[in-house]
Amino acid sequence: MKVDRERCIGCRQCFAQCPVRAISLREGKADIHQDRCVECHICAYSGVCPKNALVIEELSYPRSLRSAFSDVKKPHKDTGVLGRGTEEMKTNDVTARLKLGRLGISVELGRPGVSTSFRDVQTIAMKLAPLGVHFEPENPVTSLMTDIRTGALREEVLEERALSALVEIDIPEDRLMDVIHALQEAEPEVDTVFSLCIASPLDPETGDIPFAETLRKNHIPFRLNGKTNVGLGRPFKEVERA
Amino acid sequence: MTHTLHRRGTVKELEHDYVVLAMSSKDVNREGSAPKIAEILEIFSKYHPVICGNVAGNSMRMDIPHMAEQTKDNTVAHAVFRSTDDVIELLRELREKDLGVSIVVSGLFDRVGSCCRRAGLTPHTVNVSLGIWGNKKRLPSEDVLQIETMCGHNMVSVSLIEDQIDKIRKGRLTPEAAARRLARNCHCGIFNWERAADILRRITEKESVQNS
Repeated sequence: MKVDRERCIGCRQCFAQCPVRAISLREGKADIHQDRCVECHICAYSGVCPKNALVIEELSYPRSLRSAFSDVKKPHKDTGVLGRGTEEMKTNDVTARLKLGRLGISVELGRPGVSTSFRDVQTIAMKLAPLGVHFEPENPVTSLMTDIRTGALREEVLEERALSALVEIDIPEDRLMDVIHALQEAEPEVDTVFSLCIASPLDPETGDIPFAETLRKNHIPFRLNGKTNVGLGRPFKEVERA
Repeated sequence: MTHTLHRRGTVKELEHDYVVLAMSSKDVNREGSAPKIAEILEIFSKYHPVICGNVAGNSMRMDIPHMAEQTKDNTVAHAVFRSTDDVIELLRELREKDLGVSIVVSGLFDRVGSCCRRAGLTPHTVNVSLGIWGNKKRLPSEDVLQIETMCGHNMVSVSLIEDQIDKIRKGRLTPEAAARRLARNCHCGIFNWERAADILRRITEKESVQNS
């Protein structure tokens, strides 16, 4: 993202649009801090600039990753999904990708509103990898790994930043607390926040959330609101057991 | 993508905040799904949504037919509803139409489960939020966070929320006008501006009480 300094009148309208506070005034014109900017293009999409001075640039790798992970109006080239994750549970009624007995866990770094370096993403991935987790192959972060056995990312991406990046894994249900403990250990090692979620089919006989009791027993709080796939996709897939 | 998942608030507040989304699957039924997703967006609009959208735009920026026209096979249609009655009626119609596109409802699990049962549906899969972890010192106040997380893609920045609070405080905007302004930025159309107006009012009234 850059500012066309010929056009900019220094009105500061764009400053508040930036989720990472990367825009400031330099010599009477808006200036974008290139290290902090995550190329989300929200400032341009907001339409607040009266002079169209906010310019979306063509980026080369590895900086292009910032835009690939942060600009929600562009579908990711690997997933075809708008956003940075996969379809996860949203289409599970037709894919049966998530099976009973296994849990889909997403660790979304940088959200809400803090942003993340890919070094922090690697920290989380490397905490999880030794547990033998299955990294979701269609997830864009997985595609940046040089070795899924260690969770290491390509060296050249580590100093890049994104508004958010999702580490998606799939584990057997009985390994849930191992993952939770690994994430608790990782918390002080990252300079960002992460939003955590767990997806699973409901038990078809009881209608219960299969992992809720494990969380309660271990005093891990979870929210009373979340997402429910209501089973209207076709061709419909019954809940399958792993 | 978990953009509707991490909404915050008390049970009382969340009782008026249900996000419904429709999407097809890349590997199963995406091809040719655009007309169905466009039709679902039109159906959403019949049940008094607070807001709706599909990334091409939201109902604060453009009308429904214009949005529907821009639907592609990989579009996700969204709408926010303030009552379970509307969600139940919507789910009933979607069940009858049987368009075959996956439907996800974000909201209080027990209320959503009840809506499904009353619409003759059996919930299939859930996604549960364990909240925010890590360096939480970097987060804004809980009130601002409640507004910010209504646009899970962070297109509504903390700076913009603070800017609107400042304008309300100076008497230049009402909480409703400020909340509508914020909602324009959320292209998915999942920002519940009615709830946001209540929170903005709470923030600014709390400040005026403290200053008096």
